Amino acid sequence: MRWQLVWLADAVRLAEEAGPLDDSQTLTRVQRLPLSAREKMLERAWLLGHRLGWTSRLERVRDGGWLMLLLAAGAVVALANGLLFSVLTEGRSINAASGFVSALGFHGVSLFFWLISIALVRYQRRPEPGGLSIGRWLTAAVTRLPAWRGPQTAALVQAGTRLVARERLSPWAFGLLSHLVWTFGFAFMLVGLLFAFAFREYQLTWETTILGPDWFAAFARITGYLPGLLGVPVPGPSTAGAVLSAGVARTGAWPAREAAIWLLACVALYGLLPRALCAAWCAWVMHRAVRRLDIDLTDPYYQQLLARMQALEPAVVTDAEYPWTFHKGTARLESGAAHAGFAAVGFELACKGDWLPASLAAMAVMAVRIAGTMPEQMQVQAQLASLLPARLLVVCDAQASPDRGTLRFLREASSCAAQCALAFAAPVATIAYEDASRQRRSGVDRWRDWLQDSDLADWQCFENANAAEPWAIGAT
Amino acid sequence: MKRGSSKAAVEIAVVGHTNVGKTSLLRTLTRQQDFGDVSDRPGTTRHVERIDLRVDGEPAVRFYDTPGLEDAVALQHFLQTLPGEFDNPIERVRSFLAGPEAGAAFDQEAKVLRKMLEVDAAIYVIDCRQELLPKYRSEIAMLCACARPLMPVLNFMAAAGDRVRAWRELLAGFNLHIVMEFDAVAPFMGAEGQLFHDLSVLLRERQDQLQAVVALLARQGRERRAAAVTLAARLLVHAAGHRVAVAFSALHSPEDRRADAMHSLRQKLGQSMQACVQAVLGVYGFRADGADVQLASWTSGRWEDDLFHPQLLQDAGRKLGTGAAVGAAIGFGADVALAGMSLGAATALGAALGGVASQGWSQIPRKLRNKLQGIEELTLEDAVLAALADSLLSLITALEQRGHAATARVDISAKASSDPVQAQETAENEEHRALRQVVKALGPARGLAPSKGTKPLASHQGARRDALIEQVAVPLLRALQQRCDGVPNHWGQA
Repeated sequence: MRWQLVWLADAVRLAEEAGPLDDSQTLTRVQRLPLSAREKMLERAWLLGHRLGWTSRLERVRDGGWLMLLLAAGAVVALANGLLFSVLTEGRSINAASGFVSALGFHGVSLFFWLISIALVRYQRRPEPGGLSIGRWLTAAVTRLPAWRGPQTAALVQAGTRLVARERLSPWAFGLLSHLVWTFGFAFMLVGLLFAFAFREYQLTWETTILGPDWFAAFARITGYLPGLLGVPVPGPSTAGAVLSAGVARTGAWPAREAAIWLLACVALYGLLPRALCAAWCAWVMHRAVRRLDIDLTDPYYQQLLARMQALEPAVVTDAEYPWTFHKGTARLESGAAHAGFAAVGFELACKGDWLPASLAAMAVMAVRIAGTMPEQMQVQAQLASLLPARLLVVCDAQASPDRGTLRFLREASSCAAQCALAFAAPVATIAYEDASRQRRSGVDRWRDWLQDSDLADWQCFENANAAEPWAIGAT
Repeated sequence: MKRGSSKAAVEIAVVGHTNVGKTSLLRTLTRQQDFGDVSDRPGTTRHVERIDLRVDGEPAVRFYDTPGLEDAVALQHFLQTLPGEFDNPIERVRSFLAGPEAGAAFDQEAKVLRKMLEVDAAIYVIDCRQELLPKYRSEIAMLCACARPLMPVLNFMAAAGDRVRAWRELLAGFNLHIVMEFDAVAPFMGAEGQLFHDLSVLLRERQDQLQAVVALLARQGRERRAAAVTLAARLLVHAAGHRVAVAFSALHSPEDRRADAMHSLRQKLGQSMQACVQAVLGVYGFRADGADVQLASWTSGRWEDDLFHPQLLQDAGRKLGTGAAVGAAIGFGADVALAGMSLGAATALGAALGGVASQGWSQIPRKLRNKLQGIEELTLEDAVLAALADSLLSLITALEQRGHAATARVDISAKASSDPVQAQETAENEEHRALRQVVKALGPARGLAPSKGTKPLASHQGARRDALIEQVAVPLLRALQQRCDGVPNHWGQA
């Protein structure tokens, strides 16, 4: 049931205040379920609670419920008996007014106190955890029971009492129980009275020391007002056969049938009805509270869990990489086949600046810069194939990421030159890199690593074209 | 393909050149620090990987991380040379995918194009720092040939400069007019929401689903922020009520005994602080121990010195508008001070009365008892609380802006204004006013000593504390909103 889940979740949260529970597997399992975030959090608590043995404890709460019912039934029997025999006291004579008071007096007082407690709970601040509270007392008491003993159960019990305290449910829960006991008590009492009045003859009397018959008449009139609205006749005390004392009647009898019906109606209207209504009220409040009972997902505790759970969303490889060995070992030009000369190619350099130092450009048999379209690439490759230079310098942009397109170009080029090298164009000043030199540095390193990993490890690598000059001179 | 059925997840491929931050973008969008492999090396992702974004437990958006398009120039050339007549470009792509080169030279590109044909839309990530080279034109042309809605995302905006305009013009030339600017490392507030909103414009028939995602992201953002602020409020309420009892004689005799007491106060506060910072990191889905969020000064205890640094306290005091008094306290050498300890008797009386007025009468019995037993209580000065609140707000602001792909160091620590002149000029600004309100709201918390065994960050600490925490969270949230609104797009990359 929902309230059990919330209870468990609160208990798990309470336990985790001392330190986290090992929930990595649980969280992974819960993450996969097609549930809302709230349901997932409740499910996680349930699984963790199950592991801690709390779910079986919760089932024992149900056993406790049966015990409670048994106790309540005993209370009903005792109460009904007590009420009945407080009215039917001495033989066949019933003192009507005192019967009224003993049947309804205690009930009235206790109902009054319960209403006061409801009002207090409604307007009072909730108790501090440090202060005295029935919840703490209950926690201490319950954890001493053998079935509830254990290091972890304290959290469960504490969570339960806190939940009740937070929702201010205790007067309603206790109220529901006591009102039900009273309702059944009154019902059994009415059955008993009805039985007695039906098959036995009772005399309903009045007697007094300080009051007069008028007072009893008024008493009957006032208490009989509500029953009167339902058509129950209001009895008047008769003084016939009364014992006069100092000219005033001190005892007398009521018209028996009317008075008996009045007494029954009073018990039903002032006893049974309010208790039944209160029980219904309590049940309604409890029902609403239990339905409202939920975990607060905006609490930082749950927000941390949700963030962790979101990070567990599995990534699924849908189109796997398979080992495909592209041909390693590019065809190299034999050193004898190469002509003399130095060639330079600027690859994928769209920038307008100088990409090749003038000294290098002067000695090059070929110096071309291309942006990288296919016709450009093919033209350059054709030129290189006809020139077959001894040394080829390819200038790239250090900030660009090396890719397979570049690799393909370099591979093809290396089959047209005896020795090859890579150099990097100076960054264009207009680019607002945060830290241009640092970026460039890491760019050059990245290219270097990439060359080493590829099959072009024999390529030389210069940080810029100027640095390649001594190497280039060797070609001429 | 589950197109047409409204319940199926919206499938989105993330495509682009190698090393432009496709996986980083997905890390940020799914708030997963561990998704995929991110490195500076080209071609880190060589397979297609799927990750879901869920709404109510059901996948609402399905992202596919694809390998980089590395040799678009050659592939475009190859496509053009394919033999046969094709009605439209998409047929040409299909023909290529059916051929042998799709599993050989262009294996990686084939994976991307195959996925492109299956999804509802694609996000095309661009490193807009790069030159507009022919290879990018080839990429865009091929992606457009797949006839799927394509949304370009300009990544690394911070460092792009003038190139952004050139990229926009190029994209417009391919009829791509809805362009999103997004920095995966430092996304601006609500950038994810904007992204999904723009996608919903491209995918009209999936608009409801994408709007639900936008709403979900907004709600999650609000909840995260509220949770972080609640944590900060809990810590502040704890710190305000936090006290160390010291015998009166100890306070006034040897220096080191007083210093000991203060040290223990700092240390206890430090532990709570550390727990709070880790919890805030947890709320935002960052690992507290991760090297990527280097909050060394917060988690190692060094912040203690930062937080109690005289310069910082003076700065905070000025923000609170109580500069002189704080100055005096610092002058005395005690940065943790109870009024009366360092100031004259008349000031002490005034402070005591003021304290009672703002903190409630419930503390009087305890104070009387302490007086009789000759015990003084050390509590934190307002300036320290202000500095604490200030630092926590900076932390939360930084985390709000931080993408889950960020690897750059973020240094968030208690700092004093480096430029006092400039600080003077802005002394009366909104931020200070907000901070003052936080400290004012903390007044009643001073009278509420944490009871033994109560965890400072626990969810329910009793009605009075809970109510107080809620009250403190209100100005904190306001202050945070102010900061987040005022923060530029690219925050905190050191």
